Amino acid sequence: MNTIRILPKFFALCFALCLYASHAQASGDVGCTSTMKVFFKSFTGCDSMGILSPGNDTRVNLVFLLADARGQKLPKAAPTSDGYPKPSLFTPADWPRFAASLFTPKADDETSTGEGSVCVSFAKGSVDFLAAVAADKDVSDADKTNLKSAREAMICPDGSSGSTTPVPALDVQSTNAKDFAAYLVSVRNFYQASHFDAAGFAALANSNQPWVREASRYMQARVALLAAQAEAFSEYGTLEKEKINPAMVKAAKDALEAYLKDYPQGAYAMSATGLLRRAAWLSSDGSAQQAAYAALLAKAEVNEESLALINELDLKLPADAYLTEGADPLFLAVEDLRQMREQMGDDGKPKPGMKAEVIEAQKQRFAGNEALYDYLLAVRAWFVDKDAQAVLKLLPEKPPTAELNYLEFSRQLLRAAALDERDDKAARAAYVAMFPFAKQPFQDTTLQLALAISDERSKNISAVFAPASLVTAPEIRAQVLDYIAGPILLRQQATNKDVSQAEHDTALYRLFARDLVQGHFKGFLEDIALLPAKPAPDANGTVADTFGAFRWEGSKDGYVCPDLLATVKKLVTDAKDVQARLCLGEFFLATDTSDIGNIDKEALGGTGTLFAGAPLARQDFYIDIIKNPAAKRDDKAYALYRAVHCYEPVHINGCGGKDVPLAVRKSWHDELKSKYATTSWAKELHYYW
Amino acid sequence: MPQRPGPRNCTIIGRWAVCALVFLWAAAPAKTEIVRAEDYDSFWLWAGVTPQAPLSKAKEVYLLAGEVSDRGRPHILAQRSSIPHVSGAGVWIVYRAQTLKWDDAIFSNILNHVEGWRAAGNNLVGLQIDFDSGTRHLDRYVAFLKLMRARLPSSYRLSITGLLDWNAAGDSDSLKTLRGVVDEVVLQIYQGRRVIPNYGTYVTRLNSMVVPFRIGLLQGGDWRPPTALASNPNFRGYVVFLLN
Repeated sequence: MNTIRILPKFFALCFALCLYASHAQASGDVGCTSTMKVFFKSFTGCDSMGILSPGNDTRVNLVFLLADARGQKLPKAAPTSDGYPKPSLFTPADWPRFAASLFTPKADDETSTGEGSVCVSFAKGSVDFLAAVAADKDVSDADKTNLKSAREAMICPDGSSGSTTPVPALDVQSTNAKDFAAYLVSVRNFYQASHFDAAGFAALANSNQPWVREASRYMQARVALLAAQAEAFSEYGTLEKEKINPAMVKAAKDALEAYLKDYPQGAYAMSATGLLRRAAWLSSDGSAQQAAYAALLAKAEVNEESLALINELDLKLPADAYLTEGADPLFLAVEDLRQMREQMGDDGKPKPGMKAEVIEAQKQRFAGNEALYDYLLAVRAWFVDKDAQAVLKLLPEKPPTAELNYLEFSRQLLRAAALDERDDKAARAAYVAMFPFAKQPFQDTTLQLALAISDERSKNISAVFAPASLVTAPEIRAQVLDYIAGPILLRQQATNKDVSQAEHDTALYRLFARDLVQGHFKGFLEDIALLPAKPAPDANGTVADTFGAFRWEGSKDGYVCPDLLATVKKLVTDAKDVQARLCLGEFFLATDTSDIGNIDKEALGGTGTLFAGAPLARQDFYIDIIKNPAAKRDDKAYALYRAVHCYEPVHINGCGGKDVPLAVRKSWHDELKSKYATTSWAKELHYYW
Repeated sequence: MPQRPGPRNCTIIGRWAVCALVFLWAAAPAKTEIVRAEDYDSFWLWAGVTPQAPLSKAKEVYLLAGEVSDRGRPHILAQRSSIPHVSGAGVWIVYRAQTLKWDDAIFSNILNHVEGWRAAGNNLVGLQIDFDSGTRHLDRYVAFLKLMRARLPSSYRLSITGLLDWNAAGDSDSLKTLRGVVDEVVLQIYQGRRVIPNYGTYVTRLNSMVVPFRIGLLQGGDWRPPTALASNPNFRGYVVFLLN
């Protein structure tokens, strides 16, 4: 045959991808947005951070531990302009983004990989065969020509055609040429007749032609493994492990080991190693799988190949294999962290978390990795017991003096967070002291996030925008402007000549929006002087106007309103002006200036804006106007109409303010339909929600 | 469901919304319901998800076949161990696309698989492309889909997945360009394994959908059908993403 260099890749990928039962429970069929928080007690899929953490993807934790074990500085890939997946800039986020942030994707010369089709090896097999024929001095030129054209005439039929090529009947002379010819017959049989019949290859296993001998030995083993799973595919094309033939897996494993024993550096050794992992997986031999992965990962630095291997093991290695006696302590740590995740019971309440004894019982296995052992105990105390004091006890003070690996970094950060939790003033200094030594990918941004959250909690948020601020990541600064900053800070950044255009725009947009949402109408009239001129259209005629919302021209159809400026001027005179409030409501409805979204209370920005007062809610406008005896008939009708629509379509209030019961919504509807039946608004309303 | 003091209650018959005179008194507000696979008849079976009982009664199954990856030159990563042989249900062959930079080899490889699945005896309904196109780049996506449609034999339907915010972004002009190019859009109400919070607000704007659409639900996730969904003439039902 002629297989096979493709196979290692095939198995690496097919292993990784053909079946999907990830240890990380990583799904991710669509993109994700990371939450700006340092500690995640459960796995969301989008929120891996630059520390060893239960909330991280297990693969990310393993990469960090492997880098530490080798003292390796992880690389940072040059950002690609439109590459997928676009790495996140401040956090490892999810596995694909993390991988892309470390290594720039390489060109790949194949159209398709990982197919559950034997044809994957067909083309490369031909190349190998032809090279071996060409190099054999015992094969005449005439025979070489015959063998070459016979191989080139062969096809590997894919599913769409049942076509085959004839059995090559070659009249060749030398013994070696005859073996090559016999090999071709076996290859044709393999690709076109039966993937499970090894007889032809077996007959060539002692050939005097060295390449034929080696390839046949390898193919015998490969065919045996295919035969073991032949009956195990469901109607949906998924592999059902319980239908695998264990005796045949064993035979394949023996054959692969025999091949590797005789050809440790053989042309197909890498593939055979991959097939052995598959055999171990098919026979549910977790210990053998674990040992194979640990050995392979120990061989090299973290590189693109090891990422593929880590992805494979994450899918294929059962959870208990991480824990078994003799398992590598790094694997053990990965599984310990995973088991610290908060799990929900059927009653919707968190299940009891991992006990300290579980880790304490592993103490011997972490011999030589005591720092990791202590850290695991501390992480458990932090996440499961929420006991900052215990964390401080487990992680004594040890100011950083050299570049931090991931474990040391995690340890320092957790300790600082525990100080913070106890309102210890030393926390800020502890974060700051880490910066010069946080040089591994994502350490710096994780630290910036932790510092910003700490400053937010200690009401010191302006430190983020101080001239020598350590918080430099644009995403983190933007979050502070959007969610926390008050008018002074927003004006400062919107008028500061030294900030980037993006930061300027974020600050100015939020300043205008908050002025309106928080009812600071006078402030708005002053601030709007900062509104830049409308940009000119680009070559396509598109106008990219960040501030377009604030050029609202009012409405001429439906409820008629003057433009935004006129509306706000009226509100400055009388903040309760009926028509101006309805029009401000129209403005909010027409733009997304009031939609800033909910935020996790523990995330950066979770303490809320520093703008005074509660945000205005459209529903409150409407309720006020409905109750206002002085309001005009048409305005009242419109307020009722809009109030009812607040709950369209799924009974969720989209107008802000306190939810009112269904009966109240019905009464609004009824009032509009009776008292104001002749208005256009009553005629337009058919339902309530 | 909707509180309808008014007289409208509509059902879908074929393409048309047929409304009858029914009075519904204030029933309790719609409760959030948990999506149970046995209540539905169309499913996604993603890679690595174990086939489960409700599939046996399925009308249509969407099977992930591969992923067009952009690690280096675009290429296909197969996601299914072998060609399916589904009895009964109609089969959609699904490719997840991380990039739209497909060369001829990718197109023809995928079309080969479409034919391969049909030749294996499956009742192949069509091809679905799963790609996260932001609204902003919908025009590029539509251009790509036109190419795909032109290459796909007309006996097969073309489906795409979509994101709910396509509608929310209000770019109905871009959405209109999908009409006549794809046969359906399956709008997902979840991101990863999480149901999108406040999906209700997005669903509000579905009335402007101009192409036939289904709603993609997550097994075990929330779903509360919005008022006007059943009467939307473009609504074609649900597809449930199965989980292990």
